[in-house]
Amino acid sequence: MRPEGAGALLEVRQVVKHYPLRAGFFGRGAGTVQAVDGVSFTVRRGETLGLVGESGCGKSTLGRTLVRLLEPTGGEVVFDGLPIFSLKGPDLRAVRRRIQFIFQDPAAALDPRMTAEAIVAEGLVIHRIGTTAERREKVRQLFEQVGLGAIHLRRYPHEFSGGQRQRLGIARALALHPELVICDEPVSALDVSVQAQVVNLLLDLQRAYGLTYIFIAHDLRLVHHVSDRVAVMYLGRIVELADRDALYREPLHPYTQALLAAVPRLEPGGTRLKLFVEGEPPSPVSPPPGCRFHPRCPKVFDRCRRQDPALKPAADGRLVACHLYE
Amino acid sequence: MAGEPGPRVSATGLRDGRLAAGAATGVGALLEVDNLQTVLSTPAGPARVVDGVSFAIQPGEVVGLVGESGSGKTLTALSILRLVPTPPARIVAGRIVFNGEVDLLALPEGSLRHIRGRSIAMVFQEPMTSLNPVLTVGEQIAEVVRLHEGAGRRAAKARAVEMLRHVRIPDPERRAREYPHQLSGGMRQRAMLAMALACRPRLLIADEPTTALDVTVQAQIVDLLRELQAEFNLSILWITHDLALLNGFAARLLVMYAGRIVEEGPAADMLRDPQHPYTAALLRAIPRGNGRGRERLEAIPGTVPDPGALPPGCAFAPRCARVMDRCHAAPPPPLAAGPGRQARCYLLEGPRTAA
Repeated sequence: MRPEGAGALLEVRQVVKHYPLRAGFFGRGAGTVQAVDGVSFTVRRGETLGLVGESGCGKSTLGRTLVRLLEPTGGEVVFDGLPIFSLKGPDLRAVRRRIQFIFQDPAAALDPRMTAEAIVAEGLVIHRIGTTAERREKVRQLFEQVGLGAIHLRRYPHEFSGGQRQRLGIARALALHPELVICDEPVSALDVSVQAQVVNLLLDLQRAYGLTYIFIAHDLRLVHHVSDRVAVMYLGRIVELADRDALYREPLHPYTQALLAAVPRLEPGGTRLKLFVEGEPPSPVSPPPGCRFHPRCPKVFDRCRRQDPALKPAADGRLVACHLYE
Repeated sequence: MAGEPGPRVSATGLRDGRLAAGAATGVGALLEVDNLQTVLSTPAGPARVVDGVSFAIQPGEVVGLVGESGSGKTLTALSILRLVPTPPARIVAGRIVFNGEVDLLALPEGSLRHIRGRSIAMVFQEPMTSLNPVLTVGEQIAEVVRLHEGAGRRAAKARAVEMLRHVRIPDPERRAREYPHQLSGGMRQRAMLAMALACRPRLLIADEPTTALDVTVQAQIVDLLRELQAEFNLSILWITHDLALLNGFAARLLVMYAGRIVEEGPAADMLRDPQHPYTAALLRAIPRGNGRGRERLEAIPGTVPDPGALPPGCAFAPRCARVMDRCHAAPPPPLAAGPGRQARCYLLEGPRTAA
């Protein structure tokens, strides 16, 4: 199914993003938010890597740090052989053109004073692609591809429905022919009936252009639907990374198990499994020692409280960070 | 359930909202909503956002009110307690009979206040908007108890701690002394539930109480409410956009679209065999989390209609794959769709009803 051997498009190595926490008006240091704390994974060309986790796990921060929308604290990201974290000026701009973003809230991501046409053309203008007439034609084509009509060209973002605004966001992301698209909760703000339309559009575009996606979302049913592989994050770390079917059929990490058990099921009579994880994630300012999940873990044992488990291959080759599988 | 508009308020012999004996039609129902209509004034003119909604809730029954944004589900809930912001919204018709004896819509505000919070409580999606940031959690719960039951300061305080324990908040004595911002999202929603249940209400209206929460915390709150429901023999009207959320919990589901209940019935039957094309399409549009993946979802074309410009016929007709000529002419009435079920769809006319 997937073009095998095409290799890694993106390599993420030990990426760290910490925020200094400021207290009071004069901003004295009051600790550090360890939003992303040593995350490594690869993304293969043409695949969709799902990135799931609950709020505060660092999945959105990670997405933004990869392309330096946020300055990284540490680590390395290599995109098609190019070290993104060390690039400067025109080289960085060139890479950024090949990696685009689709955000959760297109209303906040789209300039309200620009027409839809200008929004989609903006990237082409910045990167000096084509003549005015060529850009105009390009935008018209993009509108058609994402299911917007010519009548929408002159409209402003507030005149669009939620689903249409997300289509606009997708058109803008595609204008520069990216290879990797980072989708950050792209349909979370949409109603179910409209969600499916946008998901279908993303799948169609992926097929048409051989796009690679990093799909960040909290909805595990949706991530299952779109992903080839799935990484589960908890408190700034990846705790499990596996092929989609393996992960959903037999989650290994107790946190992955808890997440999947909590998903509401549609099957008649198919009641959700009894939940066995209590409490809520602690603050990323002071993560617990040892395994970060140990205070909530039903399978905790002594070692978990002392030693931080590394993300290592388990028996079937998937990656899991849990002492149970060492 | 009375599907069609019943007699208007004035015809039922009401005195101060109290019904004459035998006036209530839903025998034994704790809450009976009959032909509720709420209008919202918009720049484009009045919009009927709740359009002839009728349903009943039995004592101890859990009912899910499911709909997308703009379906009118929240305004239906707010209308029950007359909490709709007026203006711009206004309840223009209907009867809401509580406990077989009072019509909440005809009750003087003072008497309604006794019912609100005591017999019928409500929790919302974002607890921070309903909690007072400058009072401790314990003080707020105690205040409700003193207000509704005239309890003394000490007794009210003790009840607050007891309620926090009831909603499984660890170390309730300490938590009672904390302020809302010191609690996590899940803890805040538990504190809201403690406050809502402090006066032992018979009906809890829950408006998307878990939507802002993470999935593991959401599951904890659903499990907690399941336990509390049995413990208190509570009736619950749970408003949600997620058809799957109440699977195995709600006895019945009401599906709303563009201000009307388009389908209702036992939850398990509806999820297995939806009768309205909208319910069926919604169920197909949700990824199940067990398919082959990367397949196209069955999307519903178009968007929810603007409540100010509803089509003259069935509001779902413009998006419906099974639309017929008559769907455009007039909105279908609720039609029988199996035991305890009905749906507003002309597809149910003919052989099925003749049988």
